[in-house]
Order: sequence, then C-alpha cells, then structure tokens
Amino acid sequence: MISSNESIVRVEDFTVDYLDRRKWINIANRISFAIEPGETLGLAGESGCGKSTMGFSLFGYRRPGSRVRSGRVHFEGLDLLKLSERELRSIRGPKIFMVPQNPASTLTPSMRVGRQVVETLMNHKIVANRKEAEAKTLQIFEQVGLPRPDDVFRRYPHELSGGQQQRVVIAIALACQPKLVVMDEPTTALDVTTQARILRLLDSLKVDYGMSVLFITHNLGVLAQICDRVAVMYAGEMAEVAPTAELFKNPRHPYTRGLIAAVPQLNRRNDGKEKLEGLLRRGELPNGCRFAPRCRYSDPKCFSESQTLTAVGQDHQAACWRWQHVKEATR
Amino acid sequence: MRFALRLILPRIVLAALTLAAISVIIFTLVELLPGDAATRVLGRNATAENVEVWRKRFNLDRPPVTRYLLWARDFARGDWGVSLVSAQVASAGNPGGKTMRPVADLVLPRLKNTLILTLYVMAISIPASLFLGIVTAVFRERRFATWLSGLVLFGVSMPDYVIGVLMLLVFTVSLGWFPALALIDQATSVAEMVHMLTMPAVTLAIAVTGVSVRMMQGSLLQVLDSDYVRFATLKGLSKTRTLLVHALPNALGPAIRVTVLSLVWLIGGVVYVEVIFTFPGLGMLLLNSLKLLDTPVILAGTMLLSAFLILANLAADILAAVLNPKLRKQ
Amino acid sequence: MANQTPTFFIMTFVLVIHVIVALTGVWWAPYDPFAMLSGKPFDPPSWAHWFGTDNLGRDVFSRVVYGERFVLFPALMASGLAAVLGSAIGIILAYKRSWADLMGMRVVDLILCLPSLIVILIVLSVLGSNTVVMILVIAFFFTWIVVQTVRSAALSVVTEDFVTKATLRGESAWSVAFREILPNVASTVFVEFTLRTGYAVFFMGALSFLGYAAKPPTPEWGLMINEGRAVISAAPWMVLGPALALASLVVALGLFTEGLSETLGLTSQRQRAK
Repeated sequence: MISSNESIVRVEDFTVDYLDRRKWINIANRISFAIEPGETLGLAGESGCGKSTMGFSLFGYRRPGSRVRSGRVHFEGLDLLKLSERELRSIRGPKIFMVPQNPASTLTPSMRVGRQVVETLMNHKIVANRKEAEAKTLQIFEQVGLPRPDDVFRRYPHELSGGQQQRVVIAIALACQPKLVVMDEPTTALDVTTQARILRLLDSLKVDYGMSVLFITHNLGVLAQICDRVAVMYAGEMAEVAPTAELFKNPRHPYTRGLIAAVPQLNRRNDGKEKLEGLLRRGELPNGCRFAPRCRYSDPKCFSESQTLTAVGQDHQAACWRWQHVKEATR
Repeated sequence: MRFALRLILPRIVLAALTLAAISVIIFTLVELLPGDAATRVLGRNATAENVEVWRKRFNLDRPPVTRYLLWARDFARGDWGVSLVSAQVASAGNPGGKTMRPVADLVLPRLKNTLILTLYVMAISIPASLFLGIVTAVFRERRFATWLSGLVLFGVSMPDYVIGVLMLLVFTVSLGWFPALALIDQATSVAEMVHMLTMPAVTLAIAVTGVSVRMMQGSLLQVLDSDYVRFATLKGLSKTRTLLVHALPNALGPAIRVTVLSLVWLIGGVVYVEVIFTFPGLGMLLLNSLKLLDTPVILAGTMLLSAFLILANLAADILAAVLNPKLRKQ
Repeated sequence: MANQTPTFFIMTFVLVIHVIVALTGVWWAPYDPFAMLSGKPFDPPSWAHWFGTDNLGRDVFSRVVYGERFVLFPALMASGLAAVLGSAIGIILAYKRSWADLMGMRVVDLILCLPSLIVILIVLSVLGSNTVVMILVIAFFFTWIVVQTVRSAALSVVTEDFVTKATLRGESAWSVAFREILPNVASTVFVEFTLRTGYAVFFMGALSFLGYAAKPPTPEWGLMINEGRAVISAAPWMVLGPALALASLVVALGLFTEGLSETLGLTSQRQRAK
C-alpha cells in the first residue's frame, strides 16, 4: 500500500454498515487507500459498491442510521473519525470539500446562489466582511466561467441550468481553496457537452490551485482522462489500485478486467470474452472474495478466504491471490 | 410588483368564482329545509292574509331562481336581510310592533367572538407546533422524541368534544380552576376574558397543534435528509445555521398550509366546543338558527364560513408561493 | 410485520376488543340498557355497576357496551361505502384522463370548500336526522376525499406497461380498472378505509352529541356524553364511561391506520436517509 507520510489523507481499515429497514448491511469493508498531494485519485466501481460512502467518510460524516465498525481517516495528523462535530466544522470546507452528485439538489432551493457562496466565505472567515465576500464571489463566478456574474448572483438555483449549477458548486469549492476536493460523480447528471466543459474547467483549476482530488465515478472513460491513479472498488471492498495507464494496460483483478471489457471500444472488436456476468446481490455476500460468484477464474479457495491487496507490480496492487494465474491466462 | 399581480389576480378570480358557485349550492340546500317560516313566526296571527303579506315581504312568492338572484345581489351589497325569528322589542321608530333584527347584527358580534377565540388558539398552537415539530425532527434518534411524537399522535386522534368534556371534568368540576361557561360578552376585563377562554382554547389547540406538528415533522424530516442540507453540513456550517437557514424555510411550506387550514377549521367547525363551554360564537348561532329554521341567518353564516375557507386557501397558496420560489412561475 | 412497534399491536388488540363487543355485547351486558331503575339513579361506580348509573337509574356500563354497535357499525358502513365508491370513481378518473377528470377534480375542490359540519347539519335537517341518512351523507362527503387519494395513487399505476397492454388487448375500462389497477392501489384504499372509519366514528359521535343523529333512549356514546354533560358535577361517570370508550376507539383506529400505512410503505420511512 502506498502510504508515505506526506499523503494528504490516508484511510485505514475503514468498515461501515448502514441500517436498512431494521437490518444492518455492510457497505464498506476494511478499505484502505491514500491520496498524495496534487494527485487526482479516481475511485471506480459499479453503483452501490460503496464509493460514495468512502467519499463521505473523508468528512467524518455520519449518516443517520449508520455505524462505523473500524477504521481511521488520517488528515493533517488527526483521525477525522474521532473528531467532534465542532472540530470537524473547521475542516469541512476550507480543508476538504465535497462536490456532490446532483447539482440541482445540492444547492438550497430557497436561497439565492450568490448568497450561498457568500455564506461560506463569511462562515469560514475567509474574508473580513460582507462587501469583500460579495466581490470575491463575483470574481470566482467569472473564474468558473459563469456568464454575467452579477446576474447569476441574484438567481435561485432552479433558475440555472445543470451546468451552471455545477459551476456554482465548484465556485463554492474554490472560495474555500481546500487541500482536497471530493467529487462524487460530478458529471453524471449532465449531458455530454456540458460534461466535457466541466471536466476542462476542473482540469484547469487543478493546475491553477494544486488541489488533490478524489474523483468518484463509474465512468471509466472520464477516469482515463482525468485521473493520475485509480482505485477500483467492488461490493464494499478494494479490488485494485494502480496508476491510470498501468491499470488500463495491465488490469490484474478479474473484476477490473471485466469493467474495462465492458466499455465499448471503437477500435477493438468486442469479443465478449471478459464480460462481466451475473449481478451483485448485497444481501448474499460470500465469506471469501466477494467477487468470486461472478469470477471466471475462481476456485473453491476464493469462496472461503477473503482477499487483501497485494503487490502485483510497481505501485500496483490487487486483491486477488490468483493474479498470476489471471495474468497467464490472458496473455 | 408585476409578478405579484400575476400571482394573485388569477387566484382571486378563481376564489370569487368558487364563492359564487358555493352560494348556489348553499342557497339550494337551505331552500330545501322543511317547514314554513311564515306560519311559524306569525304564530297565532298566521291568517291567510298575513301569511300572504309576509311571503311578499320576503320574496317567498317568487320563483327560486329569482329569489337566489335577489338574495345574491343583496348579500354582495352587504344587505343580509333580517332574522326571521329574533325580534327586537318595539323601538321609538316602531311603536307597538316587533321589528326584525338585521342578520348582520346577529352574525357579526358572534363572528368577533369566534375570531377572538381563534386568535387565542393560534397563539398557543403556532409556537407549540413549531417547537414540537422541530424538536421531534431534530432529535429523532432520541427516545424522548419518540415519546413526544406518540403523545402528539394521541392528542390528534382524540375527538375534540371528548377532550373538551374531559377538560371540563378535570379543570372545572374537580379542580375549579376555570369557569364552566365562557360567556365572554359578560366579561368585565381582558384578563377575565382570557381566563374564560382558556379551556376552550386549549381544547382546540390540542387538536390543531397535533395536525400541524405532524405536518411539520414530516416535512422537516424530509428536508433534513435532503441533499442540500447534507451539503450545508459538509460545507462546514454549524448545525444551528443549517437548521434555521437551510432546512426550516424549505420545510415550512406544507406546515403553513396546514396552519391556515386549521385556522379555517377553527372558525367554522368548532360547534361542539362552543356547546360544551357555552361559548357565544358563530357555530352556536348557526346551530340554533338551524333548529329554528331562521334561513337568512343560516345563509349568511354559512356563506361567511365558506368565504373564510376560500380566503384561507387563497392565503395559503400565496404564502406557499412566496416561500418557495419555484412555485412563483405558475 | 416484524418491524412494527408494540403500540401497533396494542392498538390492534384494542380494536379487536371493540369489534367483539360490538358483535356480542348484547348478549352479555349485565343489565338491560333501557331498563330504568336497574339501580339507584346517580349511583357512583361500584361492583354492582362498573360505570355507575345514570339519571334514570340505568346501568352505564351496559349502555356503553350496547352502544358499541350503534357507533361502530354505522361508521363502518359509511366508510365502506365511501371506500368502494371513492375508489371506483378515483380509478376511473385516473384511467380515463378526459375532461371528466378535470371537471371532477374541480367539483371535488368545490365540495371541500364547504364548511362540512354546517352543511351536513343542513342536509340532515332537510332529509331527516336518522341513522340511515347520516350514513349516506357522511359517505357522500368522504367519497370525494377517497377519490382524491385513490386517484393520485392510481395515476402512478396507470402509466405502467401492463395497464397499457391490457388496454391494447381491447379490455373494457371496467375490466382494466378492476383487474389491473385495483390490486395495485389496494393498500392505499385499505388505509383510506381505516382512516375514514376513524373520522366517521368521530363525526357520528359529534352529530349525536349535537342531537342530530341518534335519539334518546339509544345508548349512542356521543348522545350519552351530551346527556351526561348537564349533570357532570353530580355524576361524572355518566360522561366518563362513553367518553373513554369513544376515545379509545378513535385513537386506536388512528394509531392503527398510522402503523398500517407505515407497514405498507405508504408513509416515508423515517429511518432511511436520502
């Protein structure tokens, strides 16, 4: 596992369950990863694999009806899971910022968008007074590419388009100038053109501000464009972690191979050999490797022994003890 | 200002039309009431002649549609006719005879009383609902909140006349803290009036608060679980600020509507409480008028209540639009 | 059913008791509820008379027990009628989204703008204030409320594929309504039914309280409460007996409906976030 003392944030052994209709369901199981300064780490996986939950864990956010069974989230020498709400308040925003999935429902409907940015600036005392806050807000609006900032300032969220709403959220992020930004499917709710524009914006901001980013998405194409490293999750467990290029070139975990094979390619005939089969059933997880039921390379031992990340190459780890076998089989 | 017109004008027109339609329904219903007012009121003087004169005086000899139109015209102009049964003692202008009391004289004071009671109930209920609604939603994971919710549910389920009678039993008969009769027309001071009104007000407040709290609770819980409230928390805003600035304004909408409707219910439907506490309100007047078949009073009273109902709906709609910018476009 | 609170079970139990009393009470009530002077008038509760006696010496407990059927059965009939009619109309309106639908909803809004109690009293005065009329009138008013609820539930079902398929197969509107749509809104209908029953009991008790429905010497609870009011300081038990019985019935119905609608998933689950 890559964990240098200079990581921006380091998650260790994180396990959390959610309460669903009086039954506890495991959402994340012993997840560990780290994010380096200035890097964009992609967190990939199907819907429901727990990636959003991991995003929230970085804020010490406890959803009503959840219990954290183990884990530490190291940030600036503190364990975020052990901090009180009050202590977390100074971290959420200025240090770590979340850009959630659906911009339309992220902004408070009863408040004008300008005011929502000003509020953050004032709350974290980033500026001295209201006038400065308003001026800075307009400035940031321009930076994120919102046309006619003073007009947008007075609008309500529902009066803006999806792309504009997302820009407002990013504007609030910029207002805080955090060290780490968590983006949860930032482009899923947008159409393809807007998506491209937002990604370009994010890229330029990354360069300008040197932020680290945790980019959560199920869209491999976007991951390939934006991320330096990728971590793949399956059913609440970490399956594989590697630099982007390496991951796409030499995927070692059967699930990763399946994911990549599922992406339609224009220049390669899809022979369907590696396609993912079956369904993830949250209620019927096996004791061993959770992917075993759907894995074409599995053997009996896979079902009884749970897997942990092991080194399979330089800076490359996978949670599959048969990775050698897989490598041979797919040469 | 322009948007205010666009918002309010069509609604006012609709309200007026509704009122008109309702007037037809009410008039028709009252028309069907059995019994002939003429013979009853004239009593021993009910000779064929007198009855004829009477019927002419009150337009009872005209066809129904005409009668409706005449009545509607007069009503809209503020002339609500005279009560058929309550008579004034002879006055200087009418020596030796009994004159009929104008309906307005009967109805308006009662209305005033009812409004006073309503105000009192609201003064108790609105703060209570807000408090209970917020507390039970914010502290939803604690035990005491569940108990509180249960208590509210219990209060809502109980029929208000049962509550009223039980309160009478406990606070008047047993403890003697409050008077049994809420005859506020005879109260000599504001304090005395408040004292008299407390029991009917609390009885009604229990029912009204129950409904509002549940609405507030449901609405607030939904809002507290919303994406934007979560975002506010993740932005590092304090719990208090999140609640007051981001959650409440979005949760109040449905609660306000319910409160306004409660207001109307209070004005129109609380006959039982008036009966239990002998409160001289509009409800009792209508009840008695119905028994005595005093049609002009029945008409006026019912129209008044309907008008309030419609007005309250209008106010609720407008308020909701003001609070929720999304609705303004409509 | 496992995730119901104990309150729900208690309420169901209470309701079952009420139903049993309604069905069988006449056979085991200790005294004849109409028999005057079964005991000394205004006798406080004792072993002989569990709820005491009233002004005519009648046993209050027997009257309460006997009165159960006068309270519960008319209410069930009114709400049952409303549920049946309301669902039928609501489903048809949702299915045939024609001008009838728009008109119908305007009419419903209009009716709901009337001050219901007064109008019901007027109607009762016109048609005669007996139990049958009361049931019909209350059923009439409730029907429109049920129409609203069922219609909005049916609207979400109507857009489903299997409904469209049935229509294309050439099935008549009634057939589609009852074979395809109804099963899917059944839980909504049932919850409305229990909810309306609670209101019906409440309303009918109120009407009797005001002297409009049941007539003396019927041991109807609302009526008994009103009769007892006059002598409340002398004989509070005359009021307490029927009041508590009525309260327990209405509250049990209300809480039962709450629990029911939560089980059936019709209220937002408080436990789940997002």
